Amino acid sequence: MKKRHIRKLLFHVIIILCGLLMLYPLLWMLSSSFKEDVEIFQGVSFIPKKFTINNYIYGWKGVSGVSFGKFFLNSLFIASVSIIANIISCSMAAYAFAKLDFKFKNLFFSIMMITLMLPFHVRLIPQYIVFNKIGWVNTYLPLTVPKFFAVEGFFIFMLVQFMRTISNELLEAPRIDGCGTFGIYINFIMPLSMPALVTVAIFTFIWTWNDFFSQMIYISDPKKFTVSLALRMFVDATGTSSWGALFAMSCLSLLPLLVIFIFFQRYLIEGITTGSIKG
Amino acid sequence: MKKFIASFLTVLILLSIVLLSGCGGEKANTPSDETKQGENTTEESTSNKGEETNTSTNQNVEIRAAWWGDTKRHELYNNIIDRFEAENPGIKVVREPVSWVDYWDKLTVQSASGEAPDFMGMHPQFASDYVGRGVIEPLDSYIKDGIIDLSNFSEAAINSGKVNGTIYMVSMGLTAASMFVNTSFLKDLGVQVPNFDWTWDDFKSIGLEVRKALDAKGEKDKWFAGDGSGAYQFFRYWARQRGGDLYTAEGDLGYDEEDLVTWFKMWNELRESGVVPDAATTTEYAKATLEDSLFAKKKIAATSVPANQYKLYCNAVPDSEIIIVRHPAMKDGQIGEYIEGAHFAISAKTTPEKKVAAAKLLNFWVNSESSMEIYKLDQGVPANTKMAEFIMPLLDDKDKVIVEYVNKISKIARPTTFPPAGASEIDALFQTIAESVRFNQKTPEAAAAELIAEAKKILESKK
Amino acid sequence: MKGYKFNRPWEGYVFLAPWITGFLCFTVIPMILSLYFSFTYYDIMTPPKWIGIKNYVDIFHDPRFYKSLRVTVTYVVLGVPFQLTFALILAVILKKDIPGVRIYRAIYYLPSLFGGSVAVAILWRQLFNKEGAVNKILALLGIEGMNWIATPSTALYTLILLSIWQFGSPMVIFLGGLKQISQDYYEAAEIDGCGKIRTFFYITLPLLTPMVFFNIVMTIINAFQAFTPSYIISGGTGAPVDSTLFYTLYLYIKGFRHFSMGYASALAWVLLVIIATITAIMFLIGKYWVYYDE
Repeated sequence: MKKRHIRKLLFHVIIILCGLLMLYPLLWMLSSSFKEDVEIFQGVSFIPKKFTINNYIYGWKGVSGVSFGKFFLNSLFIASVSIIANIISCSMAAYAFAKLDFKFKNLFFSIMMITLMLPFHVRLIPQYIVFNKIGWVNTYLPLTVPKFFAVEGFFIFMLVQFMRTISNELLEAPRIDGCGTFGIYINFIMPLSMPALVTVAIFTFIWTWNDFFSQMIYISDPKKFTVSLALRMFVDATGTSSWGALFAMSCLSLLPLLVIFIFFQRYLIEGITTGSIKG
Repeated sequence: MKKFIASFLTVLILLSIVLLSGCGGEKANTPSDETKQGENTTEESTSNKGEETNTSTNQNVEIRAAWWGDTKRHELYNNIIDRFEAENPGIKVVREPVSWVDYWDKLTVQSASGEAPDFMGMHPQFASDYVGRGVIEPLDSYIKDGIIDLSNFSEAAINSGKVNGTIYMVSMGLTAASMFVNTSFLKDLGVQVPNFDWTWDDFKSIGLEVRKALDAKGEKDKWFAGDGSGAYQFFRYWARQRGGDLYTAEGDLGYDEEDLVTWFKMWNELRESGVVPDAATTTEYAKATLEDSLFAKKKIAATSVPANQYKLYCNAVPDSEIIIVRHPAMKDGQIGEYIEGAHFAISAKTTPEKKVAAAKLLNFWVNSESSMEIYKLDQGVPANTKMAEFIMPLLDDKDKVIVEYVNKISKIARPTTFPPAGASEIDALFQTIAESVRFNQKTPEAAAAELIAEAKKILESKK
Repeated sequence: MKGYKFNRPWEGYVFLAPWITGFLCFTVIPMILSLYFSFTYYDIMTPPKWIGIKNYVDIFHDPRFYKSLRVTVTYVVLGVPFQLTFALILAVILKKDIPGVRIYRAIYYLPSLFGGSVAVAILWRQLFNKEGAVNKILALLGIEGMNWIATPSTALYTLILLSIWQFGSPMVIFLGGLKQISQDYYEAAEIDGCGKIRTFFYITLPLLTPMVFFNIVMTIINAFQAFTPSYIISGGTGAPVDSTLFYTLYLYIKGFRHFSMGYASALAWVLLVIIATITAIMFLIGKYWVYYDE
């Protein structure tokens, strides 16, 4: 009995100790957010010599008269739409590749993989030119609409791998019972792919939340700024920087990400097992 | 289960349709959302198109203004623009602030579609990249027509905005390079403080004294000054003191191998004798911000900085006394100083109406008390000498030091040549080669030869 | 790949329709344009001028191209295996439903959330410079450390460590994959008296191979295109002395700083060919070790 307890305790201790290595930057940012700007780079300790919440107050004021609350809402909007879009479009494409038969399937799959291999910076200018011609610049459209059309090959590939682990035998019975392709998709593939879909949701949220380059290129109006764009405004090489405010808002912006991650783990890890379907 | 999934998907699809249409609606609403004055703006669905989409009344014009900076500068500039709009009811300005790190990337991408902002921040070091490619509007005609009034600008100030003899940008803040010296640091070590007009010999001798004093105290991680070997703009002083410049008026290189070899050799000596830090430390701090720099951490006593940042640096080391001195001069050499600054330019690829409106904004910015009251010394001393006088009573002591310095330098500064296309590429090349010399990967001679050869190639390819 | 042949032929296209539309509208035009640019001299602000294969010829004579390729390949070869190993180990450990496991998973995922943040750049410098935490620990062992992050011979390795530290994403994917494995298998193994280690190697790992394959392929594809770590830590220069000049950083510098977008586009397509070749090889080999329950 005792041995088991000790082993469990040891396990937790080791995990937490190693976890500190992971936590270090967050702890540093957190402690800096409560320090005055001058102290941040001078002091070595985690405890602020002069504790202040001014950084949070000043940081929340935001940029160019637009408060950080608006930036949070903007980021939330883009992230939410992107999640919905990705889940629908990428699962459809993955289903086609993983479970359906049609001509040129392998060709299309190869093309899809290849789209993942062209570096972002050379696609940027042509994309910008195209979006500019149709008047989508300075809107959220370039950041959201493409996602309804399965442009994120990463997720398609991931879902394909997931779906291929769903045994075909499992799907024969309903097929024979007359369930159509769409029905299989809705009633079997999607529920069984829950862990993967949740992964798509989590990653989409985090990546759109942290993405700054595309947002910087396509958004010019401070009212439309996202969290990641706004954060970049706190530091300037040619003038004053507001490091404390930067770290304060960075910590705040991490909160939703952590919340989403912790909350959605339920669906990620404790997905529907094949057992319940069989029964 | 079936029903749940089906209805869930339906809800998702409906939701996304709603959200997207809301997004589209937002786009149409934006111009009026931004109106602070309740202006009657015309129906421009997007101000990003260069063509005129409003009616033929030239009453209402909407222009886009972009600048780099941080939150504090955005506040300042927004206020200035608000005042401009108040005095010019027919002109509406859409503000597009960008962070410094991203400004040039964004401008480049926008320029690819001819979408550069009508009114934009510009810098002499980068201007040649955009001027040569037709992005920036020549301003001579606007000055002749009196829309932009430069009558109170000094010759040097006007020249700072010229490329190949044409004026492409107007300065809103003049500055000059200088060295900041932490005199408290030196006094603690019992070392004499540099004169305003010190020389390279002084630099070396003071540096060695500092090294001796530091060693006596056992301080291994402190030095006299930062390593300037990789700073192309610092090298510019060296080249000018030796009779050349970075570039000739025709756009060729203005220095030779000998200039480079002596430069690298000097810094090698300084590094080996411990006057400036070792190569790794210099690299480590190369991209550090002010608060995180060697100077702010009091590891060095002297560093090369544009003079207008004086107050910022003082605030970074609040318990020390900082003075501004010139870059070390060369005995029997020429004067290296020149005037530079931050500028505004106008987009060449927009409508004539917008160009005029942008010119009016520019004129207001640099010439009116209304604007200067707020601007003061944000990116340098106002180029308009009357405005510079006007703001003096509004400045605190530290600001006055800056103005004093820039005025002194203006009197002795010599004209400089404008960087040709390819200049920023050569700048980066210089940094990398200087770094390899620092790490003893190349001898000064080899580095100089390579640099000259490569730089010439770059200049050739852009012609 | 086998589909299961009960569907009507056109149904595949219905489900693929969004992707096909997206590809035609948003992807194919930029790709073709960039390919076109690679055969031109294009400074972004003036129209491109056709110069044929000159860019490609110049690339093969460009020492910085080879340097950046060396840097990137080192980064991939050293970073990917370690990153994935940690991801797998942690996924297996954190699979169980012990109290606090959700928080633990979040903690180990945290580094990946920091991606391109300025905080990581500052911290990494502080950790690996002369007075950094790493050197302090080494001092305890009697070793005098150097300035890891600013010395040409070691700077890249600090970036590799950064990528390994950010193993959270592959870990999450492994977690999802692990949960996909039916409990039936484990019950059967227990009944047969299989120990934990044997269970892992004979049941878990084989059934996990689809996700292992995915992680290997995607991590390699992404590592070849890594940009942000070098950009934020070297300030976009590849310092010191190009020792952290990632391939895509060089591409960015050429395109955006030197306004040679034609050359940058050529660089991009060369990279694409390299990545595509490696990926194709992995798919071919994959046939032999990846197990799908089909």
